[in-house]
Amino acid sequence: MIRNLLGRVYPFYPVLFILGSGIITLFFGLSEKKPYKLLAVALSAFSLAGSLFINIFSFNLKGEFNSSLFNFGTLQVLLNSIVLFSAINILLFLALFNFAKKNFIKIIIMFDICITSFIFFIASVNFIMIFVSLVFFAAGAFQIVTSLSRGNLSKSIPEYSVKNNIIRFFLLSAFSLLLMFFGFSLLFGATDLKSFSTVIESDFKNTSLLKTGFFLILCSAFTFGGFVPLHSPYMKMQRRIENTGTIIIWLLYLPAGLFIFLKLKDVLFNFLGGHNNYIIAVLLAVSAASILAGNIGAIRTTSIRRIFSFLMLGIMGLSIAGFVQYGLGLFDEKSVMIYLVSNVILAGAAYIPLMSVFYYLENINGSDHIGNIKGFGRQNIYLAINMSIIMLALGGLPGTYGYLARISLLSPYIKNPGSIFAEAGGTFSKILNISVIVVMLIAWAFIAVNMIRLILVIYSRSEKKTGAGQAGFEEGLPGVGRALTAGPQKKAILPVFIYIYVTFFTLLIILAGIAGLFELFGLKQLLTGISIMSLNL
Amino acid sequence: MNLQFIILSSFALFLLGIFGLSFYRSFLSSIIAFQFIIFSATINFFGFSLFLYNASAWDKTFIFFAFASIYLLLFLIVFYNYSMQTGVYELDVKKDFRFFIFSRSDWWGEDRIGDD
Repeated sequence: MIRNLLGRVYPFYPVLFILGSGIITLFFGLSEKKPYKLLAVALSAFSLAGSLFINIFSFNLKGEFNSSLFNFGTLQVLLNSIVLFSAINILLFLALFNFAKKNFIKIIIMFDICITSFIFFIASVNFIMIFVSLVFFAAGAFQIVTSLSRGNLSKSIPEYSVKNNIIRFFLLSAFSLLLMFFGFSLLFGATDLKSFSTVIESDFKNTSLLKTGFFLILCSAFTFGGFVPLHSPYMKMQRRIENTGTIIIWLLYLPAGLFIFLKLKDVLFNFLGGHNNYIIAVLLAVSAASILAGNIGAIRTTSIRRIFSFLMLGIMGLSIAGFVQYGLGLFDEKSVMIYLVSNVILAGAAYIPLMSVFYYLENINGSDHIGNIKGFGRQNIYLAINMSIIMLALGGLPGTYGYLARISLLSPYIKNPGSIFAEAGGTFSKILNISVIVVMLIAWAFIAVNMIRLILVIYSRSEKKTGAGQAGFEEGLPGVGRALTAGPQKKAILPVFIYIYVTFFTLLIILAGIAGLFELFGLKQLLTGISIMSLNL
Repeated sequence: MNLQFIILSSFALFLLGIFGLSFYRSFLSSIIAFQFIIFSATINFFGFSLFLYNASAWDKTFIFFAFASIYLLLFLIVFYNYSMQTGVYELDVKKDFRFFIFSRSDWWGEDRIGDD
């Protein structure tokens, strides 16, 4: 009977683990005692680790799953693994920076629900499941962000400012979901089919009602992801909320925005496959605007949070450029998915270790001003070297995973330079090709410049301490790092754990980069069984 | 009453919602604009179902689950706005909630806290 029951819940074994841990944690939901909080963290960590394992193991054992509501294939396993791995790291951030909070256990429970919704969203194919799971995920993210920001306000940021901007961001999120709802209503009018792949295979795919519906859903994907020009609420909120909240937005919320594009892939491939230059031009315009706004904006700001928020905007823009390449006939469907997923992996692998250090320093100094990390590289040589490698990887340094994510977009032009001026697509197509290359090179250069700027700041000479720094130091959370002396530029003592943590990610990025380079040059796979360049898709 | 009239009126409601979101600043106006979009989508679902699909059950199922989830999200936002659990409530939090406004700081330079 148990085997029969387990057979029915496949492929949602990870959900069983997470919900199981969540239900047990519910019993201690009102407790503020330290042992119970520890128990909640341990339960959640074990359930997430178990989920990650069972996600891959069960797929190897049982294979693909298809039904009218859900689809579970290699792509879904990969996306689930990314989300669960991110979740484990976010839990670490939660435990490090929010353990002292009264509502800590409630936050953990909300976090479990949020991850569960995300897992359902990844596997869903039916319109009802896509919509409902995404709304529940957004609601979960909202609850976590608001709960984290409660009672953890810096003196320099008034509470009304935090509240205003959280509400504005999630109103935009609700708006995008309502656009999607309206889009689905139009799809229902055009055909009563219930999934994107079946709709696009039907005879009604060229009706104007259907195209309008798809257009609105595409708009909702852009709005949900906070693409330019609707990035204002995102940029403002990230500067003001509690630091773990920003990680949740970067590693869960924005990837969910990108995963909507993966849900829409059949639709996009269908319309882009016909060399529809105007759709390609619109996608390229949004991508280029996000890349340029993200990277140029980051150069002028002195807030570390804003720098990384801007860069994330640039990475989001870069990710959808894969669809532009498909439209130009330079990528196949698989390459687009690999490219998009590899960007999400790169962002996660770089942001997690970097922000763990930066947020420790922010808590010590009481501010995320870039001046506070001056001289950090001279005091913490080992950590600074690791961080430099990770930042250079994000900038696209050859030999790291970042290089692979960047070069894959330009590789069709490198393999066949003649494709830029191919006669097939006409003048408009040539202009698009050249625009793509220019935008990609600018993106690569600007991200690299931003990273080099941060590295130079880390290794620059520290300045004399000011009174403002002292005030900021007093605002730092207790027990999350300490300065040897009061000044922000003096040596900050970080736990040994952070050193190991950052080293792990550095090695991961370098190893994946070298393995990928081996594959790129046609040599044998360094990691047996795992293809870095194709992500085993 | 024909399908064309229903679609056009629902589309008018949708445009009213978009206009409300772009023009009005207050929190309540945004929430009311959202209602216009929700109702326009609901009219579409029921209209198409009645005229094209002999009142099928799928649209009702969709609307039931969509309402349950989207109103949960909207309720959470409204509750957070008017809740006294935070130190700031209602009257203090009624600045500009428009999505389609562009400040220089979103593109370039520093973000001055307190301007919002």
